[in-house]
Amino acid sequence: MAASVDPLAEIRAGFFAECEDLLGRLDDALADPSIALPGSEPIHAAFRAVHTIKGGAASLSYQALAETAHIFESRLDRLRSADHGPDAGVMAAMQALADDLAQAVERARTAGPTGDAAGCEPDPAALGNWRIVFRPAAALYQSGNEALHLINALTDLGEASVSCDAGALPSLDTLDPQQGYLSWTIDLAGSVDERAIRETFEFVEDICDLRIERLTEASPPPTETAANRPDDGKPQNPEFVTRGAAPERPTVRVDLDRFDRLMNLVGELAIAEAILARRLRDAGLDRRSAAAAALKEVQTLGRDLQDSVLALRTQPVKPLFQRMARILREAAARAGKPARLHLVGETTEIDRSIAERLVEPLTHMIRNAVDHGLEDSARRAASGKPAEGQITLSAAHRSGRVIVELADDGGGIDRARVRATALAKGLIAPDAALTEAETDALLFRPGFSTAQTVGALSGRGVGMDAVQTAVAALGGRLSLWSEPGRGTRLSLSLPLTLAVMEAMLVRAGGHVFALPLAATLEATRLGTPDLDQFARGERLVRLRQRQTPLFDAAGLLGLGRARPSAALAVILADEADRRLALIVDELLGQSQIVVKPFGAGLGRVPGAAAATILGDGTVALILDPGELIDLAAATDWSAPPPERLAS
Amino acid sequence: MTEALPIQTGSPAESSSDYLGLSAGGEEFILPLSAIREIRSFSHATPLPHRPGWVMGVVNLRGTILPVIDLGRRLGLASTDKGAGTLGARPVIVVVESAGRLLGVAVERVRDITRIADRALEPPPACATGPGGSFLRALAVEADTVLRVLDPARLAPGPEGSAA
Amino acid sequence: MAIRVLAVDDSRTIRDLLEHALTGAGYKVTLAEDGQQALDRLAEAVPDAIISDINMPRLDGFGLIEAVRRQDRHRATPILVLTTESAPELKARARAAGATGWIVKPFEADKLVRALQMIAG
Repeated sequence: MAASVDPLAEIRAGFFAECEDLLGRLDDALADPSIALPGSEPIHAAFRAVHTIKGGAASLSYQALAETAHIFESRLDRLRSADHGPDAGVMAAMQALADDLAQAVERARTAGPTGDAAGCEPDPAALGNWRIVFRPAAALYQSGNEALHLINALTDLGEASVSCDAGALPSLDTLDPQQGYLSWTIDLAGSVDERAIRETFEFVEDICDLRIERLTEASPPPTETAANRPDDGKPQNPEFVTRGAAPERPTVRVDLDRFDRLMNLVGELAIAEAILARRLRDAGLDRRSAAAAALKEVQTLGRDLQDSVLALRTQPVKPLFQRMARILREAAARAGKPARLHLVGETTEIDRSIAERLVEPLTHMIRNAVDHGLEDSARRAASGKPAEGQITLSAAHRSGRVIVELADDGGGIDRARVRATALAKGLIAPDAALTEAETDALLFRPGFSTAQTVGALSGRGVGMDAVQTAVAALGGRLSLWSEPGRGTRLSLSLPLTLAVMEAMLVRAGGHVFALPLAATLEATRLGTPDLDQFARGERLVRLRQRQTPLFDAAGLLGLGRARPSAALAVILADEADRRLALIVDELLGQSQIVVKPFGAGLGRVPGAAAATILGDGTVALILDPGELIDLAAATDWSAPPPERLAS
Repeated sequence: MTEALPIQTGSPAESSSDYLGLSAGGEEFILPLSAIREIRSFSHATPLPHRPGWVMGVVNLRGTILPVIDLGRRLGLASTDKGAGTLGARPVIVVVESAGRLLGVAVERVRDITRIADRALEPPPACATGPGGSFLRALAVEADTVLRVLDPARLAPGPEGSAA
Repeated sequence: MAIRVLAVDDSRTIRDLLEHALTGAGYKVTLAEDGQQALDRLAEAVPDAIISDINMPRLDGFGLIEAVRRQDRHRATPILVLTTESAPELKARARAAGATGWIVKPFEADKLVRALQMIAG
């Protein structure tokens, strides 16, 4: 099971993580106003970033990327030494080169190494047996070179016999250890490549006397054999292949699989702690006892451990957002609509794997905003808007979730056209009476696309349904607001992490469910009037000063019904503060749970975003408040309640 | 146990494959052994909301969430639970892999492993009559017996599972 | 005893590659991200050889060589510089700065190890 990870694949993955970082620094540098000054620090920073990408790319045989970086590097190098700063035209060119570079990184990531690592075929004419006469000059020793190392390196090439001529050695009292007095004669046999010999002396050829001649049968043996290759347990040459393209896995510096194993272990630890605490409480452990204090200490440490591991898993959204800035420039250029992107909340931390899986949906959303959201310049001018379309990408933490929003100041959704398209595609009946929200929801239906021409940007017929599917697969939700003439806002609500969650465990209809604690407002005992109302089929009760829909949890999910005597309700709120009260049989307590995705085979599970494994090994569903609220809203209230409670 | 069995014979002239015999809904079927990852004793499955009855739910397969279907009901036959009762056997979960996805298939019992020559396989009849007709990959006709080969790829709930 | 190498480069990828190639060949490797960090780690690493990039923030490769050579203990410690240039004047420049040898990037692992053998045994 524990497949060893190819170290080179890890290095490649590390390289792409580094590229993301460097592209971010490059963007920062290019956006720095002081770059306009000659020889400014941002120019140097940009140069270093590009230079580093080039070096890594060349070393890993990403030739195309290395060449793209080289072109950019040369431009920046000239700029570095120029006596005037870049003007607007030069800056635009730099920006275009930066975008090219980002694309080249992306291509290298998907296509794998392409270049042919330099491999010299042996030249038969260069092979032979050789005599090398080598006399180091004083400068050789001063440069840190050492004659003995060179001779040893030489003896690796073939069968060597080495003789030393100490004739020039002075008496000890006049000996200067930094001077070269000795010379060596080395005979190498066994088809040795002359180039390999020359390479051995590459560092010193100008600081020694060196003669290399081909040995023939007639050559006399060296006079005195001093040493053969000493075996001092020298390190072996490693096998090191820089070829062989394997697609890059979604890794950060650590392979995600390894990381997930660590996360799982931390999660299992949390479960084991919760079980231990419960067992001790059941056994009547005194809260003031030393054992209880020790347990508390273990729990605190466990929590710290988990937070630390989780922190490793998160990163600021900034690199993701910067990548989107490039996507926007590209989309705006191709659509011929000038647009400016405002980034808000770039330091918001987000789970790395969520960030990776957001790239595609966000890319699509941005292209959509440019293609379909922003009006052309004439229409913008006519409605008194600035010529440049304004697009805002923001991130924030809210109610234990990450909210990522994309807003444009375009024309808003043309609902009449959406309706006409849906009608033409047979998605709705001609007489369908649709609210604005229901019309907007048509945009997310599979196959729907209002683009009158399939553009190069959002083309390929991929609609917003693909975005919604991708977001849902992350345990996220997508909502949309649009106002004619004012613009459109798409909001993604995403879990903070895919790994661990603080949850309230409840029992309903005989099943155990986990409710995200961040969304659980409170548990309350229902009064007789509320229960009477519920029994009459009324689904709105007043809880916490708000009219709140009340549902039987098990009934809502189609998994049985609450016990007749049940009078406990848990009040949930989603990140938009929509409320729902769920009748449950029993509260089982709070626990940290490990979030396990359902996997691809199941499709969407209504009401639940994921599952967790309980201490006894059984599976419990993690309910999603937003999904439950949608489910409740879709339930026909006028129908008699399927789960009538006896009073 | 299953790993030790040869999956394919060495002779190219007479290629054949191994199949696992099983009972579901009181009837006999066979599954290609190459698609089977393991066989587990039945454990309680956590039911999923608003799923067709043949989706039994999910179980914990060494830390991952494994969907489990009731093969009898999936094929339009009697439920595996009931069938198990009549046959007096404990149901088991056969874990099959298809397109990289794992699926638990609850059956009443597993039977022996049969080797069937490829030339004995015939495409299922176009009208696919009889129980589970649309889930068949082939018919294996040998001597006077006809065995029904299930297609693991067609058993999974899939993204439209809730609609099925 | 394993030969100790201090490898200095501001690129994580190159550091990863150096570490992979050198540890794979049995060397004991200490890594540093720039010249300054290399100097900070010099006393602790006690390297038998140093491999360093040239273009680095804070303290570049030339500055590092100069500072290393000023320490009596490392007056003759072999130093390989990593460079992306293969121009002939490179040799003179590297030598003048006090380098023992050089490796042109991209490097192959066996070439790197061989270069180390040439200078450090």
